[in-house]
Amino acid sequence: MKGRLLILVSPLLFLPLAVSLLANGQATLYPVRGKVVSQQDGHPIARANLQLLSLPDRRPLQSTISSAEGAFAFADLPAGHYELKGEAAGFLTTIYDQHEGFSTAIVTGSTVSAASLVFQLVPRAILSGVITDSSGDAVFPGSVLLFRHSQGVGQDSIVPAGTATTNDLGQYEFANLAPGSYLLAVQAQPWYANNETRQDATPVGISGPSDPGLRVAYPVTYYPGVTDPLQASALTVSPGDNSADLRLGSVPALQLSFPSSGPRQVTLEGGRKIAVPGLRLPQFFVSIFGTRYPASVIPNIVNGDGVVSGIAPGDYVVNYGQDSAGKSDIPIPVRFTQSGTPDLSAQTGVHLLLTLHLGNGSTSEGESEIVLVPARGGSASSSETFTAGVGSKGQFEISVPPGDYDLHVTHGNHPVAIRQVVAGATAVSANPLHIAAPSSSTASVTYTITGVAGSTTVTGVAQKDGAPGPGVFILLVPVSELQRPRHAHLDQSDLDGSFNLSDVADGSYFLFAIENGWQINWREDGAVARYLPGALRVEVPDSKSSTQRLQTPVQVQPKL
Amino acid sequence: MPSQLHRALNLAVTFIALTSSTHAQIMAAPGAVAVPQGPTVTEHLTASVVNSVTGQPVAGVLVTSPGRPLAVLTDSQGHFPFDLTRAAQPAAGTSPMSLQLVFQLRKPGYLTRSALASVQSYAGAAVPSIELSIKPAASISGRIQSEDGILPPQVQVALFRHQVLQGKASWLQSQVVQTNSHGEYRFFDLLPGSYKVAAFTSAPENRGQTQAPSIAALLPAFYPNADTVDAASPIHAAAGESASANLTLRSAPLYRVVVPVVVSALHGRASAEKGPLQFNGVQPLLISHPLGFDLHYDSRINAVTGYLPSGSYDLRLLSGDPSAFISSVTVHLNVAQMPVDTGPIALQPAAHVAMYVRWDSSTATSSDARPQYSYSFTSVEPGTEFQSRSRQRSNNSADPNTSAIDLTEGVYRFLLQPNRGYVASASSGATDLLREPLRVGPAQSPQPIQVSIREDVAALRIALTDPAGLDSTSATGLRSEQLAAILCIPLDQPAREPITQFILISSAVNSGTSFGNLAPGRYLVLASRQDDQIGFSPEYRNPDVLPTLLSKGVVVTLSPNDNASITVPLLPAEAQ
Repeated sequence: MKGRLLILVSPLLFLPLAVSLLANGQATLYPVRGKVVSQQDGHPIARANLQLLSLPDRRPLQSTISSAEGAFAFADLPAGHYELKGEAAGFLTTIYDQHEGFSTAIVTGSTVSAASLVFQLVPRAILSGVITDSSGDAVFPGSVLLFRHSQGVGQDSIVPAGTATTNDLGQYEFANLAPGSYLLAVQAQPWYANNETRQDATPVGISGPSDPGLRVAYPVTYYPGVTDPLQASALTVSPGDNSADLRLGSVPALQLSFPSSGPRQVTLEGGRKIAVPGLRLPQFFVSIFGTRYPASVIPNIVNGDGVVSGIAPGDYVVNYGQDSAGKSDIPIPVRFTQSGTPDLSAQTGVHLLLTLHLGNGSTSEGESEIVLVPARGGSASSSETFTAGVGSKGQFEISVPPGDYDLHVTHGNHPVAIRQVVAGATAVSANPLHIAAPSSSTASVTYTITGVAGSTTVTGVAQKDGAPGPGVFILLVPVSELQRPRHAHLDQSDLDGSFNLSDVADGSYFLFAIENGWQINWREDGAVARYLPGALRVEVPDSKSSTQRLQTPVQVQPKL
Repeated sequence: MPSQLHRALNLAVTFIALTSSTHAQIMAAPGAVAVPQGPTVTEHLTASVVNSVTGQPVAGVLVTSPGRPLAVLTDSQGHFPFDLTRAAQPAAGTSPMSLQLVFQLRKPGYLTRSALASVQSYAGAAVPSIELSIKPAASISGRIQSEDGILPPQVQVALFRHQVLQGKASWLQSQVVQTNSHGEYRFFDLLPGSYKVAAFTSAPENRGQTQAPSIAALLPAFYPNADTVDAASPIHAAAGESASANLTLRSAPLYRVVVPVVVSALHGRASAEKGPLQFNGVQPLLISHPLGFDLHYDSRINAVTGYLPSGSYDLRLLSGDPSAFISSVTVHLNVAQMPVDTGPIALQPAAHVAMYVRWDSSTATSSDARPQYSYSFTSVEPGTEFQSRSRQRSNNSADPNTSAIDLTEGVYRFLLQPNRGYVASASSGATDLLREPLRVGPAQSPQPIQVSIREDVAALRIALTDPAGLDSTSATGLRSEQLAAILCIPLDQPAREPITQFILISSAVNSGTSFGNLAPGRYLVLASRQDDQIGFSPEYRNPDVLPTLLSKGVVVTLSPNDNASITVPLLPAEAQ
């Protein structure tokens, strides 16, 4: 069952379905009972608050509280699919058999029993600490960034897990964490830092001294107190209280000038051209574990020139924004050291003009989006993801550094299966898409992408030893991507082994059902191919908005 | 009122920045008179920073000056060096000018402030040292517990600050924080003063509860153990001190309240101001509602629902557009240990109140067309701010003399502000809107509003005397500057806003100030030294306080076209 995170549920009026069936006297009722235990050690949880919601609309149906022995029982229900949600003091709100965005739906009916469920709640972990500077003073306000090691996207990755701000005592807290492995980074400025560059022209009034010891900044600092992200240590966060203090050291701040390039022309809507000052005041970002955050530097305009001050030595991503031709510049990774100033002349990337053709079976409603993700192990110089915007001629435009990219296209939030990519007049491989450095910096590269927005829902049953296989990892991979899956469909089987894969485009696929498959790095080359002997070949015909029910159950394989 | 004061301070700083850049231009232009052209003199000076409460020097304060190359920390004696550059000679034949300086002071645990100072604009006699003060911040912290020991994560804690608004003292919610996982909260960097603290959990319906007839929930609590902000005890947070306030939340049953709304009657109802409006749901407001209990409109059952503890409530339902509610009803709810279903409730159409604005052109001061004006109706019942509305009305309007306004049931303060002249009278039937609020009852339309605008305004020139004599020093030395707040409070027209000016004390004492556009009437004029972080807002609507205020200021009665002059004593900064 696929989770949806942002569904707002209003608590009223949910019982009519169950009530009407009862009134007709036709519905057989089935029990939903079991025991709530801790995922950590299996101990029963008393006084847990349990809730049963309807599917797929997630309306609350019933709630109950577990006994001292952790036992719970809902009033018997008609046959159907339900979501079971639980919360208790010291535990996170958990959905039954939850893995990342997926869970197992409770199914009632004549062929499946929900009468002895074991519902594991995820214990709640708290991470708190104090951020101080080298003299022991509290760092306030400091931005504390938390990241989590995740395998939910088919590869080892580090994903943002929250942001906290320190108080005047330098304290921060993350109160609702799942136990696991985390990374911590802090972004702050010394309270006494003075990197101001703006000055009145008049000599009359107050002046100096300007203490150079106040032209300082804190570099982004990683747990356990290092400024090199490669030396950052993972924090093992266990159920209950955890603490991680950090000490920041200030370093002399750098200041960079971006002299005005003279007036440049900007074309307004309607074609009128005006001259604007050629001010260069680029945006500075820090890239922390692959996520971009605005850097805490001070941009200013001094005598018509751009000046950026308060820069701590370290790694930044600098973006000049749009150039005079309206082409967007690519973000440039830059390392600043105390000794020298790197070359910051704007590097324009390869300017791409993308045309999208959606084939038969695609609905015309909704907006399309084209995203270029640097291919792992590819030659892209950046780890940034690029999203193309719709340009003036209805085409998509973007500038990216040369390299290999995975191409992801969506239409109205539905994934688009890519059929063909043509560069100029030549068909090229799209998995990955190789974008070469241009022969001249002004040239644009034209790509025509043909694809189909998937509209078929594939349903089926996972089976293990002839019985339903609940809570199993389900993966549908295009045959052409078996070695290197990029556009797979995922689900987790429900209590009766059933699963549901939506937005599938026509074509040939392999279907896998893998027990405890959540930690498989299925995006890695050859990782899924190992399971091919137990896979089910699925042909999805070219038909609009249909459901394809698989007659053959897919056999559950153990994780290799 | 800090907001107003901050604006004034910003203005003062902007003004100073402007004058200094003007200096630069004038110095560059030959023949300018205000500042002498020619050589400048730079003196190396030392100033100090002290704690405003103890008078002790404060070390490690960052001192900067906006737009100036100064950045230095005070030493262990609280001293810091700075350079002062001035013209070498006064400009011939001009009156002496003063140079305005701004020092920004910053240190953790203290309130950041911009300290103003002034000095003679040319180098003359030796400049004495200057002492600037910085005020330690206050904090309030504590722990929230629940009776049964189980505390939901992240309880909300609200801070209320004692403030005087429009002459009336009240407790205004100033910030809300969440407790940490141990139930602890902390408010810091507070102005010293009186506060109240309340804790509450988020509304139960947001926690995924069902439509059970009753649920258990933690009730909001005000420190130390009260149900309302008025019954709560004030917490005195002194400068540099941390006050503590712990609270225990009590669990109580909440009962389901259902107020079905007759929707059919609301479709296609028209606004006098906006024409036909789409039915867009119903906005419920609990008048004087306790924290954390919000009812909401559920479109699926066309009812306002939610959970409330036993008690008595006034629920106002409003429908229409937030800028023009066109239907309303007030329902009295009595929750007595059982769920409440009121049965269908019909909203009543808003009153279409006609407003006629008359302009006495015989008092016109210019040949201009009639004055433009803006008006507002501000709901004065607590918790009903949604109902307030304001409009601009200009000469371009189809008929500038008349307006039709949608007013739903409520009590409103009416204010009309012309761009010239003053409101000589405003009434609705027998209600004098310059003295009393407008009451709009259920299904009852008030009498048309009659407003008359006259332009025979009075002028008032105010000279200040400083009983403390602090600012009668010679104009040559470097000295701290403060703002004076001068208030003209209309005594016979309580619905009028007082007119306020903020002015540097040195310039107020030396040259006074004037108000040029006053409505004739009786005024209390008060002038006070202004603490730049606390402000001056006397409680003139409190009958117990007014006699004292009358004895501290000057009462003046202005007739049309008057041009009066008075001398007002400068009061010391308001103590907190």
